[in-house]
Amino acid sequence: MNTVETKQLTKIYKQGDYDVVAVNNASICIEKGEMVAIVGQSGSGKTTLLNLIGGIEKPSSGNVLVDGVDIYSMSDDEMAKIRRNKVGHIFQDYKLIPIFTAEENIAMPLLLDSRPIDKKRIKELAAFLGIEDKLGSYPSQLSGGQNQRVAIARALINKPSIILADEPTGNLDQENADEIMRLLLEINRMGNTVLLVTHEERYAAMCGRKIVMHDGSISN
Amino acid sequence: MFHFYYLRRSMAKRPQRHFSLYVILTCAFLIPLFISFYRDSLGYGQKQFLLSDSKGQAFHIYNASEEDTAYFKGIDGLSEPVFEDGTIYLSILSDDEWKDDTKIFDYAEEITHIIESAEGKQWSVINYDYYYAHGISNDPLDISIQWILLIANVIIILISAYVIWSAYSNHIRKFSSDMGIILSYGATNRGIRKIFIAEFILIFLLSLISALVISWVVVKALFVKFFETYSDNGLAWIIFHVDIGNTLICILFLLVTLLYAVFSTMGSMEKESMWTLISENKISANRSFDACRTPERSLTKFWTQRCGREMYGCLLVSVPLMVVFFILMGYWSLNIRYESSVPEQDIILSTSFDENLGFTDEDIRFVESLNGVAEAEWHQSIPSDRYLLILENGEHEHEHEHDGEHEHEHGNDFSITGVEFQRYSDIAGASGKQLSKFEAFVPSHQDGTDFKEGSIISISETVGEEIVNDSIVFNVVGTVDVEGEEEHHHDHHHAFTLFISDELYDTIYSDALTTYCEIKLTDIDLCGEVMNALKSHFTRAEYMIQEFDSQIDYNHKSAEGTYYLLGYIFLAVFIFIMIIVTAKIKDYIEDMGDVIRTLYTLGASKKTISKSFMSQAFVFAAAAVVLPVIITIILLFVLSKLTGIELTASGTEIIVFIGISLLISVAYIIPVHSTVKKVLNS
Repeated sequence: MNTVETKQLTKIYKQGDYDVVAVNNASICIEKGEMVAIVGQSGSGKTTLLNLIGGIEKPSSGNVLVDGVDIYSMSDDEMAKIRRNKVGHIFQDYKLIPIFTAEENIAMPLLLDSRPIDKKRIKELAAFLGIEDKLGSYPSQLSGGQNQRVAIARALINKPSIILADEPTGNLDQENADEIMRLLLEINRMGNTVLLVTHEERYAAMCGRKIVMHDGSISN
Repeated sequence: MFHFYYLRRSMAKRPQRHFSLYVILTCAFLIPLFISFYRDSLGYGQKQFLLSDSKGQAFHIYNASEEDTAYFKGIDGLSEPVFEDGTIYLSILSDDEWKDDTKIFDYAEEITHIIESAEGKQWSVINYDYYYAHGISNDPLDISIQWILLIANVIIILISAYVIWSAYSNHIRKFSSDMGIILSYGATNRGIRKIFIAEFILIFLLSLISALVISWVVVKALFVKFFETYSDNGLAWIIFHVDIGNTLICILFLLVTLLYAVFSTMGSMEKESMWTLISENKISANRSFDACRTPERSLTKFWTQRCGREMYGCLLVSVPLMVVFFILMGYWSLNIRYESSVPEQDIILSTSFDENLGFTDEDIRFVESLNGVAEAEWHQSIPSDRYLLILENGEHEHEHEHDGEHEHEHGNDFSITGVEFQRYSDIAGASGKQLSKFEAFVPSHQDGTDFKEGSIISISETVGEEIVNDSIVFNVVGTVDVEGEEEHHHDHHHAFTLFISDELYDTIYSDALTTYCEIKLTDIDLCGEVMNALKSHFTRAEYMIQEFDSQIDYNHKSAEGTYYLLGYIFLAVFIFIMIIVTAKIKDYIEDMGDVIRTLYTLGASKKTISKSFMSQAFVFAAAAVVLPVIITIILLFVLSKLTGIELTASGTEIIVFIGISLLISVAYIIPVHSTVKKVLNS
């Protein structure tokens, strides 16, 4: 069974009198353990496709199946559960809650799932990502690379079926960007499925497969 | 639970956000609570006055001694007589009987019979109906004031709720990014609602307690110092009082309207996609960008066109609130000036002609000879039921029991109205039509009647309860508009008015009783001496002596209090506006931070950017000043037309008006200046 599958997924935005087709009939399959890069020029619909798969934008038409379940046929509560347990998001600008410490940001998905805070797992993840001594710090006290590692730990804490990373290196310098890519590759080698949006060809080349988007459509 | 954990952490780490909401809600509660307390105090004062006057008894028999109680013992249906301070008190045992005017009349007749039978007694009796004796006012003026204050409070609560809805939208928007992230990680909309409802309930309770304490302390202090009066000189009593039931209803109404505002705001947020919340997309891009003559103007136009929604939102907050305040200030100032004007007389002496009591020639000589009396103007009155207009209203059928048998009665319905006469020459002047003896004018607006030019009116004359002349016929020769031109008459009942010839007027009033006197003093300091002399001579309860200085003194004292009250209300309104407008402007400019930095990178100087924002600020500040003034003037003009009070303003009031308006402009300019400076320096 595919971890993630989309069937003729379409997203249309209304802007005044015009319709903007951000994603046009996208049908893709991501198998378990794959690391797939979505590439394309700016405005080609990469982020929108990722958001549709992750359940944070509703499609105009089409289906998204995660572990065989059509997520958009579910109720709000069921979809929230999918987002908690099956999907892990990593955003370009980290999107950490500024009033929570790094540890609390990592633990947030557990709290949202009403599960006890597994401090041992948090420490393991933090050690793996090299931020074990930063757990008590707030995002404003961390560098960009450190914040992105906290975001990665947050995405991994609930052992999701798929990690969705939207330009995770976009706001980082070269050294940190390479380090983050190394971590994502390591995470993939550990058996996690990763779907990565990037405009960097060399990062896309590191992935097992590439999906090329052009004007909202998949061109390969 | 995560959601409450988030709320606790937010309050600890970003207290200023939640504190702003607390201050906004507290200020929003102050004015409705003040109006509620004021309404309660008026009502309570009136109740205490009625209870004090009536002592809760149906009959007061004056000029009595304790031995005289024997005369009034054992009257069937009445309580045992109670004697106190020269007066015997009786009440009606059955509440149902007491509420029936005919039963009161029967008991009054019985007591009058006892009084008339007793020789050498100077007793006089006054009766009080059930409602008066139990402190329940039937006065239409009292009832209408209570209704007006209630409606005013409802309007103010609705305006406050609207303003808070705007402020609350701003408040929730600050959390949109956090909420988007939390939603993307699996929170539900229901969970998000819990956070905001919990926050709202907590802040609502804290604000409410604060507002109750502040209102109680400030309003009580103002009332005790300036407004409370227990005068026995005919002034309405005002006693500070808070009715728990009324206050709870006010609070409940506030809660319901605010909850509606909260839920509608949350509903708007829930309609946004998570990605929109996360990315906080703020600039609308619907209109094309036109260049102006200078870069500052181009930028000002850009801010206003694309991103100026918050500034318009600020106007929607400050303009209605300032209009409400200006109307309050304008109306109270007009009222103070109207009521504080110097009267034409210092003391009013009157008697109740219901008792067929008038001032004798001896009384008139006594008053005019008093030391300190400069002038005494005497007025005559005839009892309102001396002349009656009897109108047939149709037929009726009525069943009743008589001697155990049902009887069916068929008859005609009549309405009986007392008639009041006025000289036509007083309103028409020397150039008016000369009326013959039985010609008359009627007012153009007379409730319940439809007499026009050419009608015939038949009046009956009574003495006591007997009709002595059942047909005095008048020809109606025209109608008059009497608004604002009524002469002061002392018939206190609602009567049908006829404007008649001087000849007939003099005939009717030739045997009228002198019942009213307006006394002007040689020296206002002699008022106390003259009042004491009058009270010693006119001892019967039917005489009323009212000192107008007490009214003037009260007006001057309460005027000072009114200005303090206006200051208190203005402070609440100003803080309310300041916090909301500052928050909106600060958010608006900080959201433009990236755009500002980009423009700076592209070559715009700090001065150009700053000037562009300040130009926008001045435009909106001017609108915030001018719009309330224009709207207020229009509304006050309409109010003055409806009430008949002339719309004027003293120099001081105009200066205060302008000063307050300029202060509101500060609420716009300072936040723009400080926030732009902060962003440019960052």
